[in-house]
Amino acid sequence: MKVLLLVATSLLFSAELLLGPAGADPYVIEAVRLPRAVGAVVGGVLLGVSGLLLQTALRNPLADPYVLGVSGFAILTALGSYLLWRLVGLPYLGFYTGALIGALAATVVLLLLASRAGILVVLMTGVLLSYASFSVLQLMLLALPPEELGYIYVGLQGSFAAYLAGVPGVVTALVAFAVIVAVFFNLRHVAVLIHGEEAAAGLGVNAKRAVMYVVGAAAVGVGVTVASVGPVGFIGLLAPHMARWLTGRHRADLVYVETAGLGAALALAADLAVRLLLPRELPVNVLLSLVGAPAAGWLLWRHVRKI
Amino acid sequence: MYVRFDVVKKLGDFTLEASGELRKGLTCVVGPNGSGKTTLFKILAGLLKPDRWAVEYVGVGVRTYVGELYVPPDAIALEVALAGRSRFSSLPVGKRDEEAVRRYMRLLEVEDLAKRRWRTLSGGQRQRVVIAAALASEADLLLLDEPLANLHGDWRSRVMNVLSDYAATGRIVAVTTHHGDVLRCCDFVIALREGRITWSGAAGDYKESLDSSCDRGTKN
Repeated sequence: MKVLLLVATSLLFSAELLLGPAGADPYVIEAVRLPRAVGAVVGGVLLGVSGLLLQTALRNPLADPYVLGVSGFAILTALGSYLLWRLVGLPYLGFYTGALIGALAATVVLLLLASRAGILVVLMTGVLLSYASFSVLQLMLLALPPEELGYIYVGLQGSFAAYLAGVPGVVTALVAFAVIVAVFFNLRHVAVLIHGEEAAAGLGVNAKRAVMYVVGAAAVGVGVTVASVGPVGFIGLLAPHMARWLTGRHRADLVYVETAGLGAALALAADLAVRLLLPRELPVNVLLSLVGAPAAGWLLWRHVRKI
Repeated sequence: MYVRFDVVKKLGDFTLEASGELRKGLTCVVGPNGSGKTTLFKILAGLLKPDRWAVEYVGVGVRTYVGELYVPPDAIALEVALAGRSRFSSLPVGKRDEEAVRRYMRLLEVEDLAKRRWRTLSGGQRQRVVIAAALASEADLLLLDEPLANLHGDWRSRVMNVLSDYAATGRIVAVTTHHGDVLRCCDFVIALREGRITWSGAAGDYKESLDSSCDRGTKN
């Protein structure tokens, strides 16, 4: 399964590099398609892994950074820090720092809420957080001159084309790699969180530390993704469930590699589709929501039926 | 190796005030509902912070407490049993963990169910998988809260025998139970009532004290 996924992801990556209206022009490949393909892999892997971590720690099969408003709040704080610098002259934290702070705050709030409320309450709170974030964002954009809005709107909708080339792109990819490796080496303890924090502690896991790992990794994962390619949706929901479905396993540490691979494959496939199959390029979220929303609905239906 | 405790914990109207000792072997903690069995176990496992607190763990390396365990309905039984292995390393579970866990599942006769989804298992089967997970931790101190819940007749004494064998390898195993018929498998008994220890000692003596109390007609 892992080998198959590696082959599929490599094929999709090559297709992302080679296919397009400009053909196999080396300059276009290097300057345009390579950053975009790397952005899709980085974003896809981080979102898939963040989704898996959130689903485990929140014990919520529907957890996804986008659905739960973590991505929305991260883009709000990222743009907020930019606007505060532009308009009020406060020191600029940077788009990345802003996104990280937002993702961290949203993740902490959701985890605190999850220890006190049922999974549907957490889910609804996340959805509301997402709505509120995007509304506040729209209001904040009134403060900017109209000629700047075109570029920002693209960023708000999520696009792998926004991934930066050169040193910033390489650094982002390295951070993503570090997160993936750090999570791998703490997975076994994180996986036990599915049984509840107290049960995990009883089984000899340092539950507080495991939760901190989830918070840290999910916040960095979502923050970096949002800052580099915007709030891309549903990969965090789809990749872990596809990994469980393909392997027949459930535990986070037994589907981790597959989840990461499927996240990358999904992101690349979705980007290829919106780039090549449609008469005009659309945001990648359009396609992901078309697949993701029914999948989420199906999962919700299964959950409700079991109650 | 032993655990000596002297703890006080107030929870609303209820106060647990208990001191005693757990020794190598199988200890059964008995008492009616609300007598403080679970509270005592959670304190000994370090999950609950008591108001006054003196617990000495002498020679105890790892301890495991298993009470209620939430399990997602789609998880497979083997994955649940693997939960106990989580303390050993930070890496994802490997083949050797799986083999060790399957050994304990075989002891409890749930190895055939390894690939089954949690929702398809009966209450008794689930209980045996959870006990396998607890044993797979290979802890020096094993605290099991109501391990006989959902188990019927024959299986109650068989599980107690498995726990007794595990304790006989030089470990401390303590269980709470309200099934009087399994006390013969225990080495020691601690009886709790309204937050206080009313009796503790070797299991053989407890049976005699039970009989004598029956003679006096004070049932319970």
